[in-house]
Amino acid sequence: MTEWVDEARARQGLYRFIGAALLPPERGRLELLVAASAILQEYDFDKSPYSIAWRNFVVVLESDVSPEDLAIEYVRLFGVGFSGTPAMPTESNYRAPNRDGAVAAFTASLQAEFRSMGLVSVGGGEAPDHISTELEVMSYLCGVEAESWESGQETLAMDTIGIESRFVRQHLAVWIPMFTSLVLAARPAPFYERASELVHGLVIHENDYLAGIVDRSSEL
Amino acid sequence: MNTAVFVCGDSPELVISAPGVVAIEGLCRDPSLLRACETHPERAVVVLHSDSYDLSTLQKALRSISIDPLGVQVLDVGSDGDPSALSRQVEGLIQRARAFSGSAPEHAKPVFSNAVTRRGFLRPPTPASISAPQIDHSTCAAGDGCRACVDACPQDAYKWSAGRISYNKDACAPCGRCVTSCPTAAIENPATTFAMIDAQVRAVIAASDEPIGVRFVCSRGSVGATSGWTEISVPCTSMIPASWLLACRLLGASCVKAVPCGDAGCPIDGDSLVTEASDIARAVLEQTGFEAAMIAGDSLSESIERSGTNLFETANAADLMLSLAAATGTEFSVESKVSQLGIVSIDDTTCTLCGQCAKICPTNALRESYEDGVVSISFDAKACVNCNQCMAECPEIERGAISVQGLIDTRRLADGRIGLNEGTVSSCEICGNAIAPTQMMNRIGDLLGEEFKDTVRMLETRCLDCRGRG
Repeated sequence: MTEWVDEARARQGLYRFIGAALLPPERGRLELLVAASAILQEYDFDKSPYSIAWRNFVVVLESDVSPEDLAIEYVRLFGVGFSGTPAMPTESNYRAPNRDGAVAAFTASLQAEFRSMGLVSVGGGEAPDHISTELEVMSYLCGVEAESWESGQETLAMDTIGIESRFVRQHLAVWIPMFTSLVLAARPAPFYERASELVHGLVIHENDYLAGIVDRSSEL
Repeated sequence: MNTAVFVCGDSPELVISAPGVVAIEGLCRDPSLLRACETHPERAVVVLHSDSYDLSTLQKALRSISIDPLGVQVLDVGSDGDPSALSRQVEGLIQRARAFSGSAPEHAKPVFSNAVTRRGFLRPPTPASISAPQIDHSTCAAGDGCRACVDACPQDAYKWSAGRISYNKDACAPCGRCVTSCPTAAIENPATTFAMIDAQVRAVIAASDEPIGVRFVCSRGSVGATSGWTEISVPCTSMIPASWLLACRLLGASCVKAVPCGDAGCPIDGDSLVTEASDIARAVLEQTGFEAAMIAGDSLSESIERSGTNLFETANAADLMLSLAAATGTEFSVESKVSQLGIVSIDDTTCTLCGQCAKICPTNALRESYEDGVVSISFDAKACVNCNQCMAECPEIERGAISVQGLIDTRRLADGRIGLNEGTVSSCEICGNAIAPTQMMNRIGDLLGEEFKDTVRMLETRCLDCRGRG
């Protein structure tokens, strides 16, 4: 089961990595991203269609990106301005109905879902439906899956893949393609252009790939 | 565009010597050898001598050198191919690869191995990717009610709901019928675009000094390089309309054929469509005396070729027929239910001029116009793609108000836009604004009957705004 463990760990790292890349840019965080990318490059992502997008993002990341410039671009793309926000990085913006209280209700149901996975919001960070939070949740699930494979609990690992698949299908794969198309339409700096392509490719592939594994496992 | 041809070097007699060709020994046995390749092309053609290679390993290796596998043309030539046919085939594939305009993540459909075993679960699967279609919702006519893809799909992968088409990639075993039946070219499969087919057909014909036949084959079947023929791989030959077969002849192919896969277990089962498309093409060629014109030495394709028109695009099918008629100096008429072109007829005794047919028509072949108190429905045969969406939408279809005949008729195509029905519009007695076509109001009156004659009178004489007034 070593390969299952390796794959789950690589996916855990990649979700956390791209989630962090979409947080407000800070010098320390960018340095960590560069260090993390070096570790992740040890894993062979080439079996997945997003591998080219992954390599393209690493090239930009390693090209001495200025945190100050990125911060300006981050605010332009994801902050609220006079003419609105080019691309809101929160799921409720794409999924919640346009009426009073809908965003709060949507976020509350998402948090309930997180609780069912064993996660409780302690506050202070990004919103529960922020892209980075949701990618971090996927990272957590991949971590649980990896531990299950490591401890020989194959059924639990497969069940976790089922939860991952459901979460991607019901959340990430629904709104992230809309979000990334808005980002790309706003002609972003290369960092966010490549990050958008990577996260888009990742969630679309994961949606198909995890569903395929779940289907096959049910045939056994 | 920088395009490489990676050839398995195990059969030296089949290694083509041309710029951009990279021979790699053992490539058939181990496609991952590509990883060591020092060239970094944007597009690639891979020539193998064995069909036992692992596609997912090959795709993985291609990604490692940053090539999108969905745009890579793989040619399995076996071990006894004809070298000249092989060169021609490769030239066609190079042009096809160059015409690839990239794919989006949504286009990749993972294909898992069919074998489900417990041993198989000892390691995560490595599915190969195949190219699946996607809809461009900005040009899709579903908002007007078009369901052409839903009707064409043999696997129920498309659903129409509230003016939007949803596509289920899981249900789709890409056959391409949606691509060639979409009236607005809103569906694209990046591995088989009109531009790629056009580029490949033109290249293989140009690369041959002798008469050459073009054979469309199913990508699930085997593709080989045979003397006198060149193969064009498509997801399923049932996607091929008659105009593609005719386009090949016009571009200079001496003969053309669409070969069904013949697989009894094929989920698409489109052999009858292949036969019907071939019958249409054959009938057109017979009526135009095409063969005789070719023998006489007329260059039928010259004007078309020079214009650079893509004859494989659905929207150009009518132009192709007219060009064929002009080049051979004949008119022709071929009827078939599966014709790409259609002729709409309206029965003016039952049509109420409600305009639903024009509203839904995805190509604007049917158009409704209103001028000086007269409403009219007009029709342009050149734009009609025989999608039958107008019939599906007509509220008076049971009374035969509208019908579509699958017909390629060059006289009708040359007619341009003609009127099919017209009538007056009832006006409001109070404000004078138009209410609705009189024929429609009469029909409503007939349906409501004597019992509601006052209501009918009010509907006929008052617009919505004035119904509450004195």
